[in-house]
Amino acid sequence: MAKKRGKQPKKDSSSSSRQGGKLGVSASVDDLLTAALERGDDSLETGRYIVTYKEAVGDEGIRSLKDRGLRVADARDYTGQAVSLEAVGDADALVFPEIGAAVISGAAFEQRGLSVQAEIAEDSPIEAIEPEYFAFADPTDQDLYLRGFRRAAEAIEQDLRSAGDAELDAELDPMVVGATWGLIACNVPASSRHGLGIKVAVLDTGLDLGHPDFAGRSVVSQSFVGEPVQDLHSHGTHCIGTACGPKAPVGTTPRYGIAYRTPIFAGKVLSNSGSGSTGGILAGINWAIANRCPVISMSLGAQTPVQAAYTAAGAAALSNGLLIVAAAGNANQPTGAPANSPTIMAVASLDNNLRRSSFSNFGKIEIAGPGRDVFSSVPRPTRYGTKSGTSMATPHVAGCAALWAQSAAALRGMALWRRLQATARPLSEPQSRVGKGLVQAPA
Amino acid sequence: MPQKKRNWIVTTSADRPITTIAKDLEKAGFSIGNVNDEIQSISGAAGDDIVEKLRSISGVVDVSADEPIDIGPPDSPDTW
Repeated sequence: MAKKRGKQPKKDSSSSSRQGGKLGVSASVDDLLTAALERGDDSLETGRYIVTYKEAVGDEGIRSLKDRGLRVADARDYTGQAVSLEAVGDADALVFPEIGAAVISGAAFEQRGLSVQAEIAEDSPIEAIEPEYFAFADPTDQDLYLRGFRRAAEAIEQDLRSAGDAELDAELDPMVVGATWGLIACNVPASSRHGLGIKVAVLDTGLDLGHPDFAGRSVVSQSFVGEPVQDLHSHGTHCIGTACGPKAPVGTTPRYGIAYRTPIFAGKVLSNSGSGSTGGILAGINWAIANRCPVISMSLGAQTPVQAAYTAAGAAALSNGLLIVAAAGNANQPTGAPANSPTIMAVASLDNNLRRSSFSNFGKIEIAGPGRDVFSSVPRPTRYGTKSGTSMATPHVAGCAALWAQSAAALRGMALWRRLQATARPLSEPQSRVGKGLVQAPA
Repeated sequence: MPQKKRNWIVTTSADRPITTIAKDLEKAGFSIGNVNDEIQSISGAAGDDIVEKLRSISGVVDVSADEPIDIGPPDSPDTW
Protein backbone atom coordinates (compact mmCIF):
# COMPACT_ATOMS: atom_id res chain seq x y z
CA MET A 1 0.00 0.00 0.00
CA ALA A 2 1.62 3.21 -1.12
CA LYS A 3 1.75 5.88 1.55
CA LYS A 4 1.30 9.39 0.28
CA ARG A 5 3.90 11.72 1.73
CA GLY A 6 3.13 15.33 2.50
CA LYS A 7 -0.43 15.12 1.32
CA GLN A 8 -2.96 17.58 2.65
CA PRO A 9 -6.52 16.37 3.14
CA LYS A 10 -8.68 17.20 0.13
CA LYS A 11 -10.61 20.44 0.51
CA ASP A 12 -14.25 20.26 -0.43
CA SER A 13 -15.75 23.58 0.59
CA SER A 14 -19.18 22.84 -0.87
CA SER A 15 -19.82 19.97 1.47
CA SER A 16 -17.42 20.48 4.35
CA SER A 17 -20.12 20.46 7.01
CA ARG A 18 -21.53 17.19 5.70
CA GLN A 19 -18.09 15.68 5.45
CA GLY A 20 -17.17 16.98 8.87
CA GLY A 21 -19.93 14.83 10.32
CA LYS A 22 -19.40 11.87 7.99
CA LEU A 23 -15.66 11.65 8.37
CA GLY A 24 -15.67 12.25 12.08
CA VAL A 25 -14.27 9.85 14.62
CA SER A 26 -17.77 8.41 15.10
CA ALA A 27 -18.33 7.73 11.37
CA SER A 28 -19.05 4.10 10.54
CA VAL A 29 -16.76 2.20 8.14
CA ASP A 30 -19.64 2.13 5.63
CA ASP A 31 -19.91 5.92 5.81
CA LEU A 32 -16.15 6.23 5.29
CA LEU A 33 -16.20 3.90 2.27
CA THR A 34 -19.15 5.73 0.72
CA ALA A 35 -17.47 9.11 1.22
CA ALA A 36 -14.26 7.83 -0.36
CA LEU A 37 -16.19 6.52 -3.37
CA GLU A 38 -18.03 9.82 -3.72
CA ARG A 39 -14.84 11.83 -3.86
CA GLY A 40 -13.34 9.38 -6.32
CA ASP A 41 -10.51 8.44 -3.99
CA ASP A 42 -9.07 4.97 -4.51
CA SER A 43 -5.99 5.61 -2.39
CA LEU A 44 -7.55 3.50 0.42
CA GLU A 45 -7.23 6.43 2.84
CA THR A 46 -10.29 6.81 5.07
CA GLY A 47 -9.98 10.59 5.42
CA ARG A 48 -9.04 10.36 9.11
CA TYR A 49 -5.58 10.54 10.62
CA ILE A 50 -3.64 8.61 13.23
CA VAL A 51 -1.36 10.51 15.57
CA THR A 52 1.20 8.40 17.37
CA TYR A 53 2.88 9.70 20.51
CA LYS A 54 6.36 9.15 21.82
CA GLU A 55 6.57 6.63 24.64
CA ALA A 56 5.68 7.66 28.16
CA VAL A 57 4.29 11.06 27.29
CA GLY A 58 0.96 10.24 28.92
CA ASP A 59 -1.41 13.15 29.19
CA GLU A 60 0.92 15.58 27.46
CA GLY A 61 -0.27 14.18 24.16
CA ILE A 62 -3.90 14.69 25.06
CA ARG A 63 -3.14 18.24 26.17
CA SER A 64 -1.43 19.01 22.85
CA LEU A 65 -4.66 18.08 21.06
CA LYS A 66 -6.88 20.09 23.44
CA ASP A 67 -4.51 23.05 23.08
CA ARG A 68 -5.33 23.04 19.38
CA GLY A 69 -9.02 23.29 20.19
CA LEU A 70 -9.98 19.68 19.43
CA ARG A 71 -12.75 18.01 21.43
CA VAL A 72 -11.00 14.95 22.77
CA ALA A 73 -12.59 11.69 23.88
CA ASP A 74 -10.48 9.40 26.01
CA ALA A 75 -10.73 5.62 25.96
CA ARG A 76 -10.29 5.65 29.74
CA ASP A 77 -13.76 7.22 30.00
CA TYR A 78 -15.29 3.96 28.85
CA THR A 79 -15.83 0.81 30.88
CA GLY A 80 -12.82 -1.47 30.43
CA GLN A 81 -11.61 1.05 27.81
CA ALA A 82 -13.89 -0.75 25.35
CA VAL A 83 -14.75 2.08 23.01
CA SER A 84 -17.01 1.76 20.05
CA LEU A 85 -16.03 4.64 17.79
CA GLU A 86 -19.63 5.30 16.90
CA ALA A 87 -20.30 6.09 20.56
CA VAL A 88 -17.94 9.06 20.86
CA GLY A 89 -20.47 11.50 19.41
CA ASP A 90 -18.99 14.61 17.88
CA ALA A 91 -15.53 14.38 19.40
CA ASP A 92 -12.79 15.45 16.99
CA ALA A 93 -10.30 12.97 18.36
CA LEU A 94 -10.28 9.73 20.31
CA VAL A 95 -7.18 8.95 22.32
CA PHE A 96 -6.00 5.42 23.18
CA PRO A 97 -3.68 6.04 26.14
CA GLU A 98 -2.59 2.38 26.40
CA ILE A 99 -1.03 2.45 22.95
CA GLY A 100 -0.11 6.13 22.79
CA ALA A 101 -2.13 6.94 19.67
CA ALA A 102 -5.18 8.91 18.64
CA VAL A 103 -7.65 8.89 15.74
CA ILE A 104 -8.46 12.36 14.45
CA SER A 105 -11.28 13.31 12.07
CA GLY A 106 -10.33 14.69 8.65
CA ALA A 107 -12.20 17.95 9.18
CA ALA A 108 -10.64 18.64 12.57
CA PHE A 109 -7.23 17.73 11.18
CA GLU A 110 -7.50 20.27 8.42
CA GLN A 111 -9.17 22.99 10.47
CA ARG A 112 -6.67 22.79 13.31
CA GLY A 113 -3.68 23.26 11.04
CA LEU A 114 -2.29 19.77 11.35
CA SER A 115 -0.70 18.15 8.36
CA VAL A 116 1.05 14.92 7.50
CA GLN A 117 4.04 16.90 6.35
CA ALA A 118 4.24 19.15 9.42
CA GLU A 119 7.65 19.50 10.99
CA ILE A 120 7.45 17.73 14.31
CA ALA A 121 9.52 19.63 16.86
CA GLU A 122 12.12 17.72 18.89
CA ASP A 123 10.26 18.52 22.09
CA SER A 124 6.85 17.64 20.69
CA PRO A 125 5.11 14.66 22.23
CA ILE A 126 4.11 13.57 18.72
CA GLU A 127 6.07 10.77 17.07
CA ALA A 128 4.23 10.62 13.74
CA ILE A 129 1.11 11.78 11.93
CA GLU A 130 -0.16 9.47 9.21
CA PRO A 131 -3.32 8.89 7.16
CA GLU A 132 -5.66 6.15 8.36
CA TYR A 133 -6.19 3.38 5.79
CA PHE A 134 -8.99 0.94 5.15
CA ALA A 135 -8.08 -2.64 5.97
CA PHE A 136 -9.55 -5.63 4.17
CA ALA A 137 -9.73 -9.16 5.49
CA ASP A 138 -9.60 -10.55 1.98
CA PRO A 139 -7.46 -8.97 -0.79
CA THR A 140 -10.35 -9.45 -3.21
CA ASP A 141 -12.45 -7.11 -1.05
CA GLN A 142 -10.02 -4.35 -1.99
CA ASP A 143 -10.57 -5.13 -5.68
CA LEU A 144 -14.32 -5.05 -5.15
CA TYR A 145 -14.05 -1.65 -3.51
CA LEU A 146 -12.13 -0.29 -6.48
CA ARG A 147 -14.38 -1.98 -9.01
CA GLY A 148 -17.41 -0.70 -7.17
CA PHE A 149 -16.12 2.80 -7.70
CA ARG A 150 -15.79 2.18 -11.42
CA ARG A 151 -19.23 0.58 -11.71
CA ALA A 152 -20.77 3.47 -9.80
CA ALA A 153 -19.11 5.95 -12.15
CA GLU A 154 -20.31 4.09 -15.24
CA ALA A 155 -23.83 3.55 -13.89
CA ILE A 156 -24.20 7.23 -13.19
CA GLU A 157 -22.86 8.12 -16.62
CA GLN A 158 -25.38 5.73 -18.21
CA ASP A 159 -28.25 7.27 -16.23
CA LEU A 160 -27.26 10.74 -17.33
CA ARG A 161 -26.99 9.70 -20.97
CA SER A 162 -30.34 7.89 -21.06
CA ALA A 163 -32.07 10.82 -19.41
CA GLY A 164 -30.95 12.80 -22.48
CA ASP A 165 -29.47 15.38 -20.21
CA ALA A 166 -26.48 16.96 -21.92
CA GLU A 167 -26.08 19.46 -19.10
CA LEU A 168 -24.41 17.60 -16.28
CA ASP A 169 -25.04 18.59 -12.69
CA ALA A 170 -22.25 21.02 -11.88
CA GLU A 171 -22.10 19.73 -8.32
CA LEU A 172 -21.17 16.22 -9.46
CA ASP A 173 -17.71 15.16 -8.48
CA PRO A 174 -15.87 14.92 -11.83
CA MET A 175 -14.65 11.45 -10.99
CA VAL A 176 -18.18 10.12 -11.02
CA VAL A 177 -18.82 11.20 -14.62
CA GLY A 178 -17.04 8.25 -16.19
CA ALA A 179 -14.34 7.78 -18.73
CA THR A 180 -13.86 7.68 -22.49
CA TRP A 181 -14.83 4.55 -24.40
CA GLY A 182 -11.12 3.94 -25.07
CA LEU A 183 -10.15 3.93 -21.39
CA ILE A 184 -13.02 1.63 -20.53
CA ALA A 185 -12.13 -0.75 -23.39
CA CYS A 186 -8.53 -0.90 -22.11
CA ASN A 187 -9.79 -1.57 -18.57
CA VAL A 188 -8.04 1.55 -17.30
CA PRO A 189 -10.54 2.82 -14.68
CA ALA A 190 -10.32 -0.48 -12.81
CA SER A 191 -6.53 -0.34 -12.69
CA SER A 192 -4.88 0.47 -9.37
CA ARG A 193 -1.85 1.86 -11.24
CA HIS A 194 -1.01 5.42 -12.23
CA GLY A 195 2.56 5.29 -13.55
CA LEU A 196 4.30 7.14 -10.72
CA GLY A 197 8.04 7.32 -11.45
CA ILE A 198 7.75 5.96 -15.00
CA LYS A 199 8.87 8.69 -17.40
CA VAL A 200 6.81 8.79 -20.59
CA ALA A 201 8.21 10.62 -23.60
CA VAL A 202 5.79 11.74 -26.30
CA LEU A 203 7.50 12.94 -29.47
CA ASP A 204 5.01 15.06 -31.37
CA THR A 205 3.93 18.70 -31.88
CA GLY A 206 4.66 19.61 -28.25
CA LEU A 207 2.21 20.40 -25.46
CA ASP A 208 0.00 23.29 -24.37
CA LEU A 209 2.12 23.90 -21.29
CA GLY A 210 -0.57 26.07 -19.67
CA HIS A 211 -3.46 23.65 -20.10
CA PRO A 212 -5.26 23.42 -16.73
CA ASP A 213 -5.36 19.62 -16.84
CA PHE A 214 -1.56 19.49 -16.63
CA ALA A 215 -1.15 22.02 -13.83
CA GLY A 216 1.16 20.64 -11.18
CA ARG A 217 2.39 17.77 -13.36
CA SER A 218 6.09 17.20 -13.81
CA VAL A 219 6.78 18.21 -17.43
CA VAL A 220 10.20 18.27 -19.08
CA SER A 221 10.07 19.65 -22.60
CA GLN A 222 12.47 20.14 -25.47
CA SER A 223 12.04 21.32 -29.03
CA PHE A 224 13.90 19.85 -31.99
CA VAL A 225 12.22 21.90 -34.70
CA GLY A 226 13.29 25.48 -34.11
CA GLU A 227 9.92 26.49 -32.62
CA PRO A 228 8.95 26.73 -28.95
CA VAL A 229 7.55 23.55 -27.41
CA GLN A 230 4.20 25.24 -26.87
CA ASP A 231 1.76 23.23 -29.04
CA LEU A 232 -0.06 25.40 -31.56
CA HIS A 233 -1.10 22.39 -33.65
CA SER A 234 -3.14 20.21 -31.18
CA HIS A 235 -1.88 16.73 -32.07
CA GLY A 236 0.79 16.63 -29.37
CA THR A 237 -1.50 17.88 -26.60
CA HIS A 238 -4.13 15.32 -27.63
CA CYS A 239 -1.68 12.40 -27.59
CA ILE A 240 -0.07 13.43 -24.30
CA GLY A 241 -3.58 13.76 -22.87
CA THR A 242 -4.41 10.16 -23.75
CA ALA A 243 -1.15 8.73 -22.47
CA CYS A 244 -0.76 10.86 -19.34
CA GLY A 245 -3.88 12.93 -18.76
CA PRO A 246 -5.26 13.57 -15.25
CA LYS A 247 -7.34 11.20 -13.21
CA ALA A 248 -9.91 13.92 -12.61
CA PRO A 249 -9.98 16.54 -15.38
CA VAL A 250 -11.19 20.03 -14.57
CA GLY A 251 -14.96 20.37 -14.25
CA THR A 252 -17.31 17.60 -15.36
CA THR A 253 -15.05 16.29 -18.14
CA PRO A 254 -14.82 12.49 -18.38
CA ARG A 255 -11.48 10.93 -17.65
CA TYR A 256 -9.50 10.59 -20.89
CA GLY A 257 -5.93 9.96 -19.70
CA ILE A 258 -4.25 6.78 -18.56
CA ALA A 259 -0.96 7.23 -16.67
CA TYR A 260 -1.93 10.20 -14.56
CA ARG A 261 1.15 10.35 -12.32
CA THR A 262 3.95 9.83 -14.80
CA PRO A 263 6.58 12.49 -15.33
CA ILE A 264 5.91 13.81 -18.85
CA PHE A 265 8.70 14.33 -21.37
CA ALA A 266 7.26 16.38 -24.23
CA GLY A 267 9.61 16.39 -27.21
CA LYS A 268 8.60 18.66 -30.07
CA VAL A 269 9.74 16.89 -33.22
CA LEU A 270 6.90 18.17 -35.42
CA SER A 271 6.26 21.83 -36.11
CA ASN A 272 3.05 23.69 -35.43
CA SER A 273 2.09 22.92 -39.03
CA GLY A 274 2.62 19.21 -38.43
CA SER A 275 5.84 18.74 -40.36
CA GLY A 276 9.21 17.37 -39.41
CA SER A 277 12.09 15.27 -40.66
CA THR A 278 13.74 11.98 -39.79
CA GLY A 279 16.72 13.93 -38.46
CA GLY A 280 14.61 15.89 -36.00
CA ILE A 281 12.74 12.81 -34.89
CA LEU A 282 15.97 10.91 -34.30
CA ALA A 283 17.25 13.81 -32.20
CA GLY A 284 14.06 13.55 -30.15
CA ILE A 285 14.44 9.80 -29.69
CA ASN A 286 18.07 10.33 -28.67
CA TRP A 287 16.92 12.81 -26.02
CA ALA A 288 14.25 10.47 -24.68
CA ILE A 289 16.75 7.63 -24.41
CA ALA A 290 19.38 9.87 -22.82
CA ASN A 291 16.70 10.68 -20.22
CA ARG A 292 16.00 6.98 -19.74
CA CYS A 293 12.27 7.19 -20.44
CA PRO A 294 10.89 3.63 -20.15
CA VAL A 295 8.08 4.46 -22.57
CA ILE A 296 8.55 6.50 -25.76
CA SER A 297 5.43 7.22 -27.80
CA MET A 298 5.53 8.33 -31.45
CA SER A 299 2.27 9.07 -33.25
CA LEU A 300 3.98 9.92 -36.51
CA GLY A 301 5.45 8.36 -39.59
CA ALA A 302 5.80 8.20 -43.34
CA GLN A 303 4.88 5.59 -45.95
CA THR A 304 8.47 4.46 -46.53
CA PRO A 305 10.26 1.13 -46.17
CA VAL A 306 12.10 0.32 -42.95
CA GLN A 307 14.68 3.01 -42.11
CA ALA A 308 17.99 1.74 -40.69
CA ALA A 309 18.27 4.67 -38.31
CA TYR A 310 14.86 3.96 -36.73
CA THR A 311 15.75 0.29 -36.33
CA ALA A 312 19.01 1.27 -34.64
CA ALA A 313 17.09 3.67 -32.39
CA GLY A 314 14.63 0.95 -31.44
CA ALA A 315 17.47 -1.44 -30.70
CA ALA A 316 19.19 1.14 -28.52
CA ALA A 317 15.96 1.69 -26.63
CA LEU A 318 15.48 -2.02 -25.97
CA SER A 319 19.08 -2.56 -24.89
CA ASN A 320 18.58 0.28 -22.39
CA GLY A 321 15.37 -1.29 -21.04
CA LEU A 322 13.16 1.26 -22.80
CA LEU A 323 10.27 0.71 -25.21
CA ILE A 324 9.32 2.68 -28.33
CA VAL A 325 5.73 2.42 -29.58
CA ALA A 326 4.71 4.00 -32.86
CA ALA A 327 1.56 4.50 -34.91
CA ALA A 328 1.23 2.19 -37.91
CA GLY A 329 -0.31 4.94 -40.07
CA ASN A 330 -3.71 5.82 -41.55
CA ALA A 331 -3.26 5.12 -45.25
CA ASN A 332 -4.84 1.63 -45.28
CA GLN A 333 -1.46 0.47 -46.61
CA PRO A 334 1.46 -1.53 -45.21
CA THR A 335 2.81 -0.14 -41.96
CA GLY A 336 4.99 2.91 -42.43
CA ALA A 337 8.23 3.99 -40.73
CA PRO A 338 9.22 4.14 -37.86
CA ALA A 339 6.54 1.62 -36.79
CA ASN A 340 7.72 -0.90 -39.39
CA SER A 341 11.14 -1.30 -37.73
CA PRO A 342 11.42 -4.71 -36.06
CA THR A 343 12.65 -3.05 -32.85
CA ILE A 344 9.63 -0.74 -32.53
CA MET A 345 6.05 -1.76 -31.54
CA ALA A 346 3.55 -0.92 -34.26
CA VAL A 347 0.06 0.06 -33.11
CA ALA A 348 -3.14 -0.37 -35.15
CA SER A 349 -6.39 1.51 -34.59
CA LEU A 350 -9.75 0.07 -33.47
CA ASP A 351 -13.24 1.51 -33.67
CA ASN A 352 -15.47 1.39 -30.60
CA ASN A 353 -16.94 -1.92 -31.80
CA LEU A 354 -13.36 -3.22 -31.39
CA ARG A 355 -12.94 -3.83 -35.10
CA ARG A 356 -9.95 -2.51 -37.03
CA SER A 357 -10.52 1.07 -38.21
CA SER A 358 -10.90 1.25 -41.97
CA PHE A 359 -7.90 3.58 -42.32
CA SER A 360 -5.51 1.56 -40.13
CA ASN A 361 -2.32 0.34 -41.82
CA PHE A 362 -1.63 -3.39 -41.74
CA GLY A 363 1.05 -6.06 -42.15
CA LYS A 364 3.65 -5.56 -39.46
CA ILE A 365 1.37 -4.84 -36.45
CA GLU A 366 2.13 -5.80 -32.82
CA ILE A 367 -0.92 -4.54 -30.93
CA ALA A 368 -4.05 -2.41 -31.26
CA GLY A 369 -5.59 0.48 -29.36
CA PRO A 370 -8.71 2.65 -29.44
CA GLY A 371 -8.28 5.09 -32.32
CA ARG A 372 -11.72 6.18 -33.54
CA ASP A 373 -13.38 9.29 -32.09
CA VAL A 374 -10.95 9.62 -29.21
CA PHE A 375 -11.68 12.45 -26.77
CA SER A 376 -8.68 14.12 -25.17
CA SER A 377 -7.08 17.46 -24.36
CA VAL A 378 -6.28 20.07 -27.02
CA PRO A 379 -4.72 23.52 -26.63
CA ARG A 380 -6.65 26.34 -24.96
CA PRO A 381 -9.08 27.93 -25.38
CA THR A 382 -10.81 24.89 -26.88
CA ARG A 383 -9.29 22.60 -24.18
CA TYR A 384 -10.84 19.32 -25.41
CA GLY A 385 -11.41 17.69 -28.78
CA THR A 386 -12.00 14.43 -30.58
CA LYS A 387 -9.60 12.91 -33.12
CA SER A 388 -9.22 9.63 -34.97
CA GLY A 389 -6.14 7.79 -36.11
CA THR A 390 -3.47 5.25 -35.25
CA SER A 391 -1.99 8.37 -33.64
CA MET A 392 -4.71 8.11 -30.99
CA ALA A 393 -4.35 4.36 -30.54
CA THR A 394 -0.62 4.65 -29.86
CA PRO A 395 -0.78 6.74 -26.66
CA HIS A 396 -3.35 4.25 -25.28
CA VAL A 397 -0.60 1.64 -25.59
CA ALA A 398 2.00 4.02 -24.18
CA GLY A 399 -0.18 4.88 -21.17
CA CYS A 400 -0.95 1.23 -20.44
CA ALA A 401 2.75 0.40 -20.85
CA ALA A 402 3.56 2.96 -18.16
CA LEU A 403 1.05 1.34 -15.80
CA TRP A 404 2.56 -2.10 -16.44
CA ALA A 405 6.08 -0.71 -15.97
CA GLN A 406 5.01 0.69 -12.60
CA SER A 407 3.60 -2.69 -11.56
CA ALA A 408 6.93 -4.54 -11.80
CA ALA A 409 10.54 -3.36 -12.10
CA ALA A 410 11.30 -6.22 -14.51
CA LEU A 411 8.76 -4.97 -17.05
CA ARG A 412 11.11 -2.92 -19.17
CA GLY A 413 12.12 -3.00 -22.85
CA MET A 414 11.44 -6.34 -24.47
CA ALA A 415 9.87 -7.80 -21.31
CA LEU A 416 7.35 -4.95 -21.32
CA TRP A 417 6.68 -5.45 -25.05
CA ARG A 418 5.95 -9.15 -24.43
CA ARG A 419 3.75 -8.46 -21.40
CA LEU A 420 1.63 -5.98 -23.35
CA GLN A 421 1.10 -8.55 -26.07
CA ALA A 422 0.51 -11.44 -23.67
CA THR A 423 -2.20 -9.54 -21.79
CA ALA A 424 -3.88 -7.94 -24.80
CA ARG A 425 -7.53 -8.76 -25.30
CA PRO A 426 -7.70 -11.19 -28.25
CA LEU A 427 -9.80 -10.07 -31.21
CA SER A 428 -11.32 -11.99 -34.10
CA GLU A 429 -9.29 -10.29 -36.87
CA PRO A 430 -5.84 -11.49 -37.98
CA GLN A 431 -2.58 -10.30 -36.43
CA SER A 432 -1.73 -8.46 -39.61
CA ARG A 433 -4.66 -6.19 -38.82
CA VAL A 434 -4.78 -5.95 -35.01
CA GLY A 435 -1.59 -7.57 -33.72
CA LYS A 436 -2.09 -9.64 -30.55
CA GLY A 437 -5.24 -7.66 -29.76
CA LEU A 438 -6.49 -4.70 -27.73
CA VAL A 439 -4.00 -3.41 -25.16
CA GLN A 440 -5.11 -3.81 -21.53
CA ALA A 441 -4.10 -1.98 -18.37
CA PRO A 442 -2.84 -4.04 -15.41
CA ALA A 443 -5.13 -4.68 -12.45
CA MET B 1 30.10 24.24 -59.35
CA PRO B 2 29.84 22.37 -56.03
CA GLN B 3 27.08 19.75 -55.72
CA LYS B 4 23.96 20.94 -53.97
CA LYS B 5 23.88 19.50 -50.45
CA ARG B 6 21.01 17.33 -49.29
CA ASN B 7 20.17 16.11 -45.82
CA TRP B 8 21.26 12.57 -44.91
CA ILE B 9 21.02 10.22 -41.99
CA VAL B 10 24.11 8.11 -41.32
CA THR B 11 23.52 5.01 -39.19
CA THR B 12 26.64 3.78 -37.40
CA SER B 13 27.91 0.59 -35.84
CA ALA B 14 28.56 0.40 -32.11
CA ASP B 15 31.89 -1.31 -32.92
CA ARG B 16 33.58 2.05 -33.45
CA PRO B 17 33.24 5.23 -31.33
CA ILE B 18 30.62 7.50 -32.91
CA THR B 19 32.79 10.59 -32.41
CA THR B 20 35.57 8.99 -34.48
CA ILE B 21 33.13 8.11 -37.25
CA ALA B 22 31.81 11.69 -37.16
CA LYS B 23 35.34 13.04 -37.68
CA ASP B 24 35.85 10.76 -40.68
CA LEU B 25 32.52 11.89 -42.13
CA GLU B 26 33.53 15.53 -41.78
CA LYS B 27 36.88 14.86 -43.47
CA ALA B 28 34.99 13.35 -46.38
CA GLY B 29 32.91 16.50 -46.81
CA PHE B 30 29.85 15.75 -44.62
CA SER B 31 28.47 18.73 -42.66
CA ILE B 32 27.42 17.35 -39.29
CA GLY B 33 24.00 18.27 -37.88
CA ASN B 34 23.33 16.11 -34.81
CA VAL B 35 25.37 13.26 -33.37
CA ASN B 36 22.79 10.98 -31.72
CA ASP B 37 25.18 9.13 -29.45
CA GLU B 38 22.51 7.04 -27.70
CA ILE B 39 21.02 5.61 -30.89
CA GLN B 40 23.93 5.25 -33.33
CA SER B 41 23.02 7.84 -35.97
CA ILE B 42 24.39 11.12 -37.27
CA SER B 43 22.36 13.60 -39.28
CA GLY B 44 23.89 16.14 -41.62
CA ALA B 45 24.26 17.40 -45.18
CA ALA B 46 26.37 16.39 -48.16
CA GLY B 47 26.36 16.53 -51.93
CA ASP B 48 25.15 13.39 -53.72
CA ASP B 49 28.63 12.94 -55.19
CA ILE B 50 30.26 12.00 -51.88
CA VAL B 51 27.56 9.66 -50.54
CA GLU B 52 29.33 6.54 -51.82
CA LYS B 53 32.54 7.71 -50.11
CA LEU B 54 30.59 8.10 -46.84
CA ARG B 55 29.23 4.58 -47.14
CA SER B 56 32.77 3.20 -47.35
CA ILE B 57 33.89 4.77 -44.07
CA SER B 58 34.60 2.22 -41.34
CA GLY B 59 31.66 1.98 -38.92
CA VAL B 60 29.08 3.40 -41.34
CA VAL B 61 26.19 0.93 -41.63
CA ASP B 62 23.79 2.94 -43.74
CA VAL B 63 23.41 6.35 -45.42
CA SER B 64 19.81 7.29 -46.28
CA ALA B 65 18.09 10.48 -47.32
CA ASP B 66 16.52 12.45 -44.49
CA GLU B 67 12.82 11.92 -45.26
CA PRO B 68 10.19 14.51 -44.43
CA ILE B 69 7.41 13.58 -42.04
CA ASP B 70 4.05 15.31 -42.30
CA ILE B 71 0.97 14.66 -40.20
CA GLY B 72 -0.81 17.59 -41.80
CA PRO B 73 -1.99 20.84 -40.26
CA PRO B 74 -4.63 20.84 -37.49
CA ASP B 75 -7.96 19.30 -38.59
CA SER B 76 -6.40 17.99 -41.78
CA PRO B 77 -8.30 15.06 -43.34
CA ASP B 78 -4.95 13.34 -44.00
CA THR B 79 -3.14 12.55 -40.81
CA TRP B 80 -1.22 9.74 -39.16
